[in-house]
Amino acid sequence: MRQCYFCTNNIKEIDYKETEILKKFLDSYARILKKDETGVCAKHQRKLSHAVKNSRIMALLPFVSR
Amino acid sequence: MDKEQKMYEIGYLLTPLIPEEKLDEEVFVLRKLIEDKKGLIINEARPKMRKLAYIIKNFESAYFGWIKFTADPETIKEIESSLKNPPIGGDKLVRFLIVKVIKEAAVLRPARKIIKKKKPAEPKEKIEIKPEEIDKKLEELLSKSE
Repeated sequence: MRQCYFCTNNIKEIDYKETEILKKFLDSYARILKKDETGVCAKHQRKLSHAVKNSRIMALLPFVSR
Repeated sequence: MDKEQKMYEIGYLLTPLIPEEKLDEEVFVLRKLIEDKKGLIINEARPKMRKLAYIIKNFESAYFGWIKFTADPETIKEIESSLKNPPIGGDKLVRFLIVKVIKEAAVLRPARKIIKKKKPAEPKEKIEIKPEEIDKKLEELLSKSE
């Protein structure tokens, strides 16, 4: 089983500004990947989706691409 | 008093029409707004020009910066509403976002990986058996079977 990326890197809060990290969890259409695709634990997946959404509001990440 | 204080972060986009030299003035307006509401600025990043993921108000790029500060939860609403309404925000503030941040996370930012330490396996105690003892036992067994 894959371990959660954020747990292994000891990241407690996910920052919406770190787009390079967030991009790992988006597909080619800039959709957020599912929990079972990312291997992220439930707690961090929740925080991840919030971070991505905040990032989209600030136009750091696209709502849609292509 | 101290317990009531919470940590916030304002991320903002400023119009690319502002010349580089005048950026500090715009940031100063934001800083003053926070400090007027008795917020304590902890950390900030200078606005940098960056490409936007999509077009906002016909701008393809904008200055993105952020300020971290502590403030009373009640005053944060005042800060938000004064940012929404000109003249403080004005045309220069394209967009902003206020998020709560956890104090610990803001101070500590460990980027290290957790490496599981493997405990060295304890060497099993070897029971040394002398060849003479084996002979003795063998003889015993043999004598019994006979």
